[in-house]
Amino acid sequence: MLAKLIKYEFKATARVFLPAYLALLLVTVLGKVLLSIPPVQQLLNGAVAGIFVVIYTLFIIGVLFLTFFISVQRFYRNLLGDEGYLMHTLPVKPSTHIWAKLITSSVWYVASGVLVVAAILLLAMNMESYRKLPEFIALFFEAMGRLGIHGWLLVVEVVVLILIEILSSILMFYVSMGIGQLFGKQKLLGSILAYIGLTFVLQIVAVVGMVIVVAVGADVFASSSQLEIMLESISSKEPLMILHGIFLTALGINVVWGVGCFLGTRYLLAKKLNLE
Amino acid sequence: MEPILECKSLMKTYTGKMALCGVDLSLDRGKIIGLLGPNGSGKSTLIKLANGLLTPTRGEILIGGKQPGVETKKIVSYLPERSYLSDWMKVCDIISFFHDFYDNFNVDKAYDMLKRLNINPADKLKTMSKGTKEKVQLILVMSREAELYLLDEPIGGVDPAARDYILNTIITNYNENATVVISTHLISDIEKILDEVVFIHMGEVRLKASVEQIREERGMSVDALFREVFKC
Repeated sequence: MLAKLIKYEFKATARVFLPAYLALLLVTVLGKVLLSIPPVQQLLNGAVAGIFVVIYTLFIIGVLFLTFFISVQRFYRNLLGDEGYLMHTLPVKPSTHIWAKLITSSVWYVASGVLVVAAILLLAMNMESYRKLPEFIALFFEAMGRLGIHGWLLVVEVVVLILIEILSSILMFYVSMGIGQLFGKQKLLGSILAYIGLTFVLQIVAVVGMVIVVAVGADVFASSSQLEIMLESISSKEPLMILHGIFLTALGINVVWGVGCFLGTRYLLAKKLNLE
Repeated sequence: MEPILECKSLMKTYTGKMALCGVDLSLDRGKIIGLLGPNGSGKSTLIKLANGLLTPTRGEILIGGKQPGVETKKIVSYLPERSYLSDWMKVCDIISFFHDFYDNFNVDKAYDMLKRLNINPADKLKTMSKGTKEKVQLILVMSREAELYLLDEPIGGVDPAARDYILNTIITNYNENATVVISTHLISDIEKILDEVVFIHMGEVRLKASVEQIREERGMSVDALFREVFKC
């Protein structure tokens, strides 16, 4: 059932995203061509180029906002609006509905992110920067070589953190809307208030989490009274360890928070659904 | 045989308001049953509870002996009073959607009914009138070979000619072990197809009787009895 739900979710969202992506591609290519014709280039070296950059920036923001908006709107309309009458009478568990929406949204988040970065690179790069590209790559690998296993671990941590961050932030919107629909006629207002409230709680959790990490770290320092050990611990590897600590704490908080939001959403859909 | 729908001291309150107050009800298989009551009497609440769209505050509702969930949703075909179809879809898209999710959906039957009501399967819902959308929804619901049909106001928005066809569809399109529950206040239109009626008022069941019984014992039509019971 999950696969079928995801299939229909992609059908419902692709009709918005694919044209938007195509438009982004066209604007990028258009910009690239315009800026690379020498006379136009001269002409554009001023106000017109500035205007293009402004429009292009708005376009990029538009694509990113659309990604967020569709993700929220699909959940709100399809599960909490009138379409919910159909979705919640399908022989499907509430958790399966959440997974279908979550997986589809995350794929679009990643796709939009990758596309926006690729588009900006395509527009910004010129022959010069293309020539320098191998140099950059070599530099990157050299830096990685020096960091050893830690370098690659950090890369993996960052990538995993970004993915988990996407999942947990989407789930936070879901649970906010789940709480919001309890407010009857004031669903949208309720959802926004719930989101603000949850953000506040999350901030506290994050601060407490970081304080604990720092306190534990300070404790380690404090217990090593001897100067030698102090110096040893602030050797070259130490900043990396602190970075690992920060990433893993952030990862842990995100995972716990995401699971909490998922369970909350599931409970609200299963037991507290209140379609108009 | 165990009843297809059973309520035991079923109670539902919305923030402070009592929608159903201790309903005990048992509906048998193989019947067409009218769930009749004035606006706000608790008809839709009862039907939503049977579909698992609401959770009882107290008491219990069972479909074929099971609490509403994935298993009961497989055997219940529900027509809500609202339009639940996405505007951007074509009728044929929705048919494949139903076919994908419900094992008991009969595609041929659906296309056949669309043809009879002159609805083009390639049309988008966006371009359709409210009445046509209601017809599409009813076709989808009646094309399932379900054990329990729960129809909330199925004929409210369609013209009288289509109404006859729809009622005819309802009586000819379900198997003899299935039960059809029709919630409405347009009683005279559906009276002739009903086997039983349940009168519901202020969240309580006032009367459950067969139509025959009402005619014989009280010598009046369901419509007349309804007007008498719910006289304002």
